[in-house]
Amino acid sequence: MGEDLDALRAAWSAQTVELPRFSPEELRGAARRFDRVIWRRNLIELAAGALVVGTFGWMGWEAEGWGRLGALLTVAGAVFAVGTLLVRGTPRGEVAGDCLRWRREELIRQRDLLASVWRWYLMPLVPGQVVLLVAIGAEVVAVPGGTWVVAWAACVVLVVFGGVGWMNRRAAAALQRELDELEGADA
Amino acid sequence: MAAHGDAVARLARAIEADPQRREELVQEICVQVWRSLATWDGRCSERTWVLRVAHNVAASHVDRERRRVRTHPEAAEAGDDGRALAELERRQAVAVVHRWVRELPVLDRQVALLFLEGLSPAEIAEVVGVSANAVSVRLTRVKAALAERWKEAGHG
Repeated sequence: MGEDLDALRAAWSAQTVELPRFSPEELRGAARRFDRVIWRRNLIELAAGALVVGTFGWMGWEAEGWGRLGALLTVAGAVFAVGTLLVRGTPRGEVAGDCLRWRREELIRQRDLLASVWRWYLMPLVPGQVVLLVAIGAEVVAVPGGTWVVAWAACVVLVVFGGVGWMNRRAAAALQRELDELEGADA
Repeated sequence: MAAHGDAVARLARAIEADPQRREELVQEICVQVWRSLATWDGRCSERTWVLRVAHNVAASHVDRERRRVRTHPEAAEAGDDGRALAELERRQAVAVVHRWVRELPVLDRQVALLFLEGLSPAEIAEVVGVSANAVSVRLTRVKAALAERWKEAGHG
């Protein structure tokens, strides 16, 4: 096995690789480009939040009374959720720390973010959704079948929220399993 | 950074099959090394510092890329010119190791790549942050698997 590994290591080192040689100015340029990539990445991830803010912001502008209140509460909830994602969604550890510590901190950060999705993502949207449903209900209750429409809308909201919460809890559990495996890494 | 550039480039090639994504990864590593060097206090060697940053950035890159659905253009990368057959076979064997490495759990991947870079168990332990004994246990498993892949690829 030793000779095989020596041959593999030799082949590994002999790979033709080229790392661009950066001057300080080029590095500063690369850092700016890298920051723009991060910004674009965040923008893509936040596009859904922007869609919610835009849609419900327009509704709040157009509607009156409880409808306006519900839409604006939803906008406020979405802004809170997006802000939380921006603050807590990026790595915060010491990038030059040892790999095990970095990995553990990253897993804990991601796990906590996913496990608490009810608190920072779903619950802030609930007041707006409830008020909106009440407002719509008050409008359509006199219309034949109106109650069913509101009941269906409430069910859709419940299923979407429950689904998002469930998927995030599952993802958090997977990260916890990885964390549990890491706990024995230094044994 | 120039002294450790080849190791960074080989790490990027090992974990990222897509050339464009690989370039982004290398750029991110360079930027993070450059930014973090201001806080280098000399308590570890420069090589350990660079390798820690590189492997940490690479681990985050793998996390991000896991969420993407994509194809791996590895086959086209393996052999693309008229070099000697032995050289082509060697490159293909390394490509087999690349594919295997990408499937490993993070810590095993880091240990395997640092071993291939020629680091001793004590040096690997310093980069990864576990005891040399824990590295040795992992290395036994990793070395056996690496030797197996190397043989499967027609060597040894």
